Amino acid sequence: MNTYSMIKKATALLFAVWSGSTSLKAQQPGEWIAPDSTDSQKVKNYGTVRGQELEKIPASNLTNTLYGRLNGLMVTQTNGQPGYDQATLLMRGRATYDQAALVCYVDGFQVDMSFYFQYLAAGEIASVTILKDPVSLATFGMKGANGVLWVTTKRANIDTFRIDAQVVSGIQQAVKIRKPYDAYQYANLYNQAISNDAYALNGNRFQWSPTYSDEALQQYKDGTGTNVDWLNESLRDNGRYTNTYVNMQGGMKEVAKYNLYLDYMDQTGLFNIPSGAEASRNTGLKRYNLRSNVDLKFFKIFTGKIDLGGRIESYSQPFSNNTYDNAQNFWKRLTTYPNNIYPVRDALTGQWSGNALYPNNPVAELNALGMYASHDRTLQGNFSLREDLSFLTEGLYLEQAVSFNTWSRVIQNKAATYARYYEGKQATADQNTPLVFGSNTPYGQLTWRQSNLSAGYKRQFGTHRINAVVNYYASDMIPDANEDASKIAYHYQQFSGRASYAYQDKYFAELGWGYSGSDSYAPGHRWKLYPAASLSWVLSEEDFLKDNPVINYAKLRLAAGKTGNDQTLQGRYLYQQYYRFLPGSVTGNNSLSFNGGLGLGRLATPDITAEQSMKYELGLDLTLVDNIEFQATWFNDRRSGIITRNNLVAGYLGYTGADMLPLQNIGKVNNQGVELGLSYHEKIGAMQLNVGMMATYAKNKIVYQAEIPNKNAFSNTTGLAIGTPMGLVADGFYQFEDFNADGSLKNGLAKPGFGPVQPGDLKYKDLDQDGLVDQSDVTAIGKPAYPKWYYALNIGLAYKGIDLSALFQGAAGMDINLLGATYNQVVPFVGNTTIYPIAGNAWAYYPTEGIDTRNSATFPRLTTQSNANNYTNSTFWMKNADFLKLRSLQVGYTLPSAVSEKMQLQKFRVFLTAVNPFVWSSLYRKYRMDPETPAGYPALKSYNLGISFTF
Amino acid sequence: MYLHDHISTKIAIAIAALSLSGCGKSFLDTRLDTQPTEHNIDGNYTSLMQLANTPYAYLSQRNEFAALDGNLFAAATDEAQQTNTSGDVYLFNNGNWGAFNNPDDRYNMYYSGIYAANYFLEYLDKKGGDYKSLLAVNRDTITQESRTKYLNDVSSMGWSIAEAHVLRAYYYFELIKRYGGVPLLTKTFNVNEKPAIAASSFQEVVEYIVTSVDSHVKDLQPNWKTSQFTNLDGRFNQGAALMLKARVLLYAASPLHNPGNDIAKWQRAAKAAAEALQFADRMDDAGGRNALDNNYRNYFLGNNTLNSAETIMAIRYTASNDLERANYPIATPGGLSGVTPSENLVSAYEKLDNYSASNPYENRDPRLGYSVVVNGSNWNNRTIDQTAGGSDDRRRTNASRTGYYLKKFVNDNVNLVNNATNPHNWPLFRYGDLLLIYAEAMNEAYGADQANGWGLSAREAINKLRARPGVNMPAVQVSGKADLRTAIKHERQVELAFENHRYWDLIRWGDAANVLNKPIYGVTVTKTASGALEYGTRQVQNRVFIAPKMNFYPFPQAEIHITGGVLAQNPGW
Repeated sequence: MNTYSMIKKATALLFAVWSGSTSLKAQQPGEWIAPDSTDSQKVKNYGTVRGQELEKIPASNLTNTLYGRLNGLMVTQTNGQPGYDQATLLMRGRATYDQAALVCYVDGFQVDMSFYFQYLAAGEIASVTILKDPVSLATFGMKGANGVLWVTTKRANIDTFRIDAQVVSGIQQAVKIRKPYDAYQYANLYNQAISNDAYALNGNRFQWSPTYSDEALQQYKDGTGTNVDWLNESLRDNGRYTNTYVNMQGGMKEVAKYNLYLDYMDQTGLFNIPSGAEASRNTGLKRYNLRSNVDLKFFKIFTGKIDLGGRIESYSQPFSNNTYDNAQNFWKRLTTYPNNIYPVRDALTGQWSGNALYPNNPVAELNALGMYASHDRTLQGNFSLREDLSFLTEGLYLEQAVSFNTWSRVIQNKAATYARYYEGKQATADQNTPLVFGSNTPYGQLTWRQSNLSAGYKRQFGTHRINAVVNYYASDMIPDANEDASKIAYHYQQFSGRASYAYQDKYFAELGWGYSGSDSYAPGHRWKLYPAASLSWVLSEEDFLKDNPVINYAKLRLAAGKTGNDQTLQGRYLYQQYYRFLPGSVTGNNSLSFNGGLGLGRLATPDITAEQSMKYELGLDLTLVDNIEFQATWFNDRRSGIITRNNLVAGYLGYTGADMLPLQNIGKVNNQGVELGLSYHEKIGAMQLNVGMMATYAKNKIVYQAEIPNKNAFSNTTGLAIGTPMGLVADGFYQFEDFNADGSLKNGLAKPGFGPVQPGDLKYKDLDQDGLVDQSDVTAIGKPAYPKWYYALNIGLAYKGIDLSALFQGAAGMDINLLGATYNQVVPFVGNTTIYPIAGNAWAYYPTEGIDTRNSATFPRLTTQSNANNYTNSTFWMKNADFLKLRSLQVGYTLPSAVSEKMQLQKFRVFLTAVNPFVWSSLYRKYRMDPETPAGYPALKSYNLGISFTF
Repeated sequence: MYLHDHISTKIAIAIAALSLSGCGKSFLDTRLDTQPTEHNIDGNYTSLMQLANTPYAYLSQRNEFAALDGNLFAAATDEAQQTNTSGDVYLFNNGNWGAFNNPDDRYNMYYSGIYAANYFLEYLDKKGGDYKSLLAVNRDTITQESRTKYLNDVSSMGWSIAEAHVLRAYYYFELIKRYGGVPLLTKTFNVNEKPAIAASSFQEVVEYIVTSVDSHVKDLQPNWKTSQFTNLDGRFNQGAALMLKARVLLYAASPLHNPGNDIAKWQRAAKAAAEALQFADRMDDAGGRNALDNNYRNYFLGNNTLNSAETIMAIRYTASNDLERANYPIATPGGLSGVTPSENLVSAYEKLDNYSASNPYENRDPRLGYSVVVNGSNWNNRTIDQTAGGSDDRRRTNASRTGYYLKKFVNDNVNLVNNATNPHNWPLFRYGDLLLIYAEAMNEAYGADQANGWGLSAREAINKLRARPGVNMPAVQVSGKADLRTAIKHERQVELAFENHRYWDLIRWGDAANVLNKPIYGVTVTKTASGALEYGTRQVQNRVFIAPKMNFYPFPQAEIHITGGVLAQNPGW
């Protein structure tokens, strides 16, 4: 036993040395400078979350477990479809209008967010940290400006053999499926629209001229008419989710430790396809993960790591084509086909219905078009070796690591078609064809080799503590070029280093630098230096605060530094001038010859380089009365050199066209805000309470983007936040009083420039008072679609064996444009679509039918023709999209150790989890739209039951 | 122990050294070129030929048949009215166009053309100027067939060089026609240079154009149709260059740019026009071999424009039915009425003897019937009847508001449902216009009946045009410069209707403020009780033209901003 405790101590010591230094980047700000982790004075780090917390949201995509977990990381959901549900991650708002995505490092090496990170299992993760301070990010050089997500996977931390296992199973439902009007309401309102359209032809007056007769309407009311609820027919209520994992760890004392992890996840989607269907398959994702992290120690000074993480994913969907667009098109049809067009199956022949106007029967699309399956294989292997050179000088160490990461995807396509029948007759030329094997082609692949060499020194001399590391990193990524020559290989090299000095554990100074080179730029412009420095002062160690009863810990932080962003959406090798083939002359008399021309392609920028970010930070950490922890940080990010098209080139130079003007490092954006964190823990008798709150506020402003000034200053987007929606300012509806008898507008009213208008159409303000409502009256009409405020509240309660945790997450300061993604569910009838309750109270005046909504209307007059005046971006269509969601609610019960030991178990826990059960949002309340996924495959809420046990 | 330590140290250092040695700059060279780079261009003789072709792209980049709202530019003038109630043309009609929204903004397009010409000429200069050897690079010039091809390319290149100068001059003409004086660039600039080039004066650019033409006209092909290179017809030729010079000098002598009525300018224009006319009349290999076409109606249809001797230069487009689709009456399936001729234009066609008001379209200038679809005529397989209840009932939504439909350029009986297409070619320089330029310049310079040794007097020129077979209008009898001037202006209005001359003619004569400010009229047709047709006029739309500012287009406001005010906006804008 005492050897065991000795081993335990030794292991702990080794672990303490290992844990912080796999490579330079594992150092976390504030954590390794501060004393040992057992010191209770360390402030809770809001930028880190442990894997166990992430498991509280059972989700197939790891990005969907990050809501509200990391202060400064704004996570917004975009889509709920299995396989396409990656959330958007932004650090501290948006600081550039180019690529603002974070980079992700797993176990010290960069990985691709889409192909690698999102399908790691939560059980594999030991911790996820967001690196956002200037010094840490400077050490990432050209990769750091948008923030870094630093992930570590589970490693063995004990010496004895141990098995943890967990099974979670549950159902997933759509957050809300909004339904359109039924056939009766549709026909009624359609009559209104058709009558509205005849206004001009009827001599500029409203005359009721319905398409659907009263009998037809009565049939719909009775239920004898065709009334198909397409959403109900195509979707099922529940999808399934199952996740099981087993984690084994153990080791041989002083020689090796291992952590073996196996995981299986199965998720099925909401499409209503019978499970034994021949010609189709529900959408779903199956995933098998395997990870083996082995730690070795030999020859006294060497410690090694062998990490292998692999994964097989199997994805299926009912559309026989792999494009994401196909799924989007399906949703468009599903949500826009009116209820009364035809029954699901043609009554006379029993075949699928369809006609020339509505050829794609949504239920048939799911069941009879075939299926698509894709299989992914991923493997990441990391090998590292570390030498403890304390025999030379105490505290010196060297480390070498290499990583191989590969991914490949193969697709299998089986296609079929179906004949469409309408009222007994075949309506289109399509035939019923059996399932035909389409293709078994490679879809894509990726190979990524990285290497990391570092040398470090860590030593304490009395009251001085020094910690320094230098690092060399190289990366060679070969993605699937897909016939794009600019994507053949991505090479990157970097030297970086970090040095910190602590005096009396009271005064800290830190210096970080990165010197990176990227292959996207011309020789001579490839390498850039990014330095950063920070100072901290632990006030609570000073005499005036040392024995303060209230303030247990107070630290002031100041940091400033440069970092870069070499990811851009504009393309690589912009320094190289290319030529392109252009139209030339057209000659010939009886048959034309087209004689091609040649000219410069996009003008090259020889000195193109990475975008630069100057970051400043000022922060305060406090611990009060031992159970309240508070953290506040003010940050400022000044971006410059954003690759932007230079529009301000004189036209007479002859370079015109968006594809000709050069892309230069001229854009500038400022982003600044505050980050707040507050946590409280209390022990009241047998009950333990933890409450944590975090909030980030970020506001950005475009300083320069080479915009050509518009006629009026208020139409310019420079000076506004990135993505501010622009449009007209709505001013109510046109009423009868605004028109003369001949249908023309009265004098004094501004003439609308978008098309003819009649009473019931939207009226807009003529902001520049020129008598015309046109493009020169466009201005900012709302807030961008990403949040300004992002906040979360985490509550944990433990009492005896019962534990309860709840995570609320909210976002505020954003608007949604109803004419954007939700266009088809807002604009009725145009394009033969259906009508939703949002358009139920449209402007109409038919006194003979008892309809008069002139003063109470909330929607412009209905129409079946495209209307450029009403359906154009304006304040009328901008709605507030703020929300607060209960992301996760978990209740669990751990069996008392006496009972579980009888079962040979160390621990046994049963728990129930609800994900996304509630949403509070004005958008949801008024229009039944989920603010994050208002259109397309909806976000999911789920209810799960789980068991976990440890041997 | 110590040995062990030494080894580990050595290993450690070796690893460190290895790591540093792997960082050669070549690791970061990953670029692979799939598009041509300068290296590829230089080694390839076709590059030179393609560079020579590029300036022509800007001649047809804006389809003249779809200049405004997908239709002819004529709807912005008193010639016609657009039937659609919304469109860019209303910016012109209502006077609401300006520096921020000019539907006919071709500033960037023409400067791109000028740039392409400059680039080609500079490239040739940079390579030494010897195009014969440049065209022989990497190519077989020995084998009979290849050698012939090589020699053809050499000839073609010789012309191309001269054409580049003249094409550049043409683009400058199009710019000064619209904007007055414009920045004159004769070389290319790097995109990062900010040459503060102000607008040169109108006269300076005119001189530049004239010099360009004079220095290179002899190197141009005289006549493509009779040369062995008919497949290259469509490129600039001597006749076109001479006519360009005449046209430019005519504009320079016109009242807008010649307020003091300096006769010397008119004489200069007359001389240039005479030169062009003499070249066009020459029937040998060194001449233009031009003559008036016999069929005014068919001349503008299909490939007739290309094959006719009247055409000095035409712009070619791929076959389509867009013009028919846009301008067939609404009663024709697929038609949209489009640009409809106005009563203002129709009433300008002269009445002949035996004219009667009850049959107003009989006994008129035949060009009326060739250019305009009038009530009672045969069109699209029916007789157009715009009376109440007729096939083309005027009250129908989107029926012509003026009572006429476009006929010139429009092929009849095109099956729009089956998407039948026809070629449409735009006559840029034609013999008929040359006669009118000559007549106008001669009249102003020397009076109505003086030939000044060039064979034709002003009156004779205009009468020659009127005597076109198929038109046969009686000779102009008026005497005196002023009266002949009016006759010539009138002749331009009817002869060149819809050919994009009216707007510019009115402006350069200084008549735009009077004519383009007046309402557009249409004709009403009613059937009387006895079945006879009664014609009346009605006002269709008010037009706005504010002189003197609208005599010149405003420079795009973006340009004014980008140049920081070095380029000054035109007065009044």
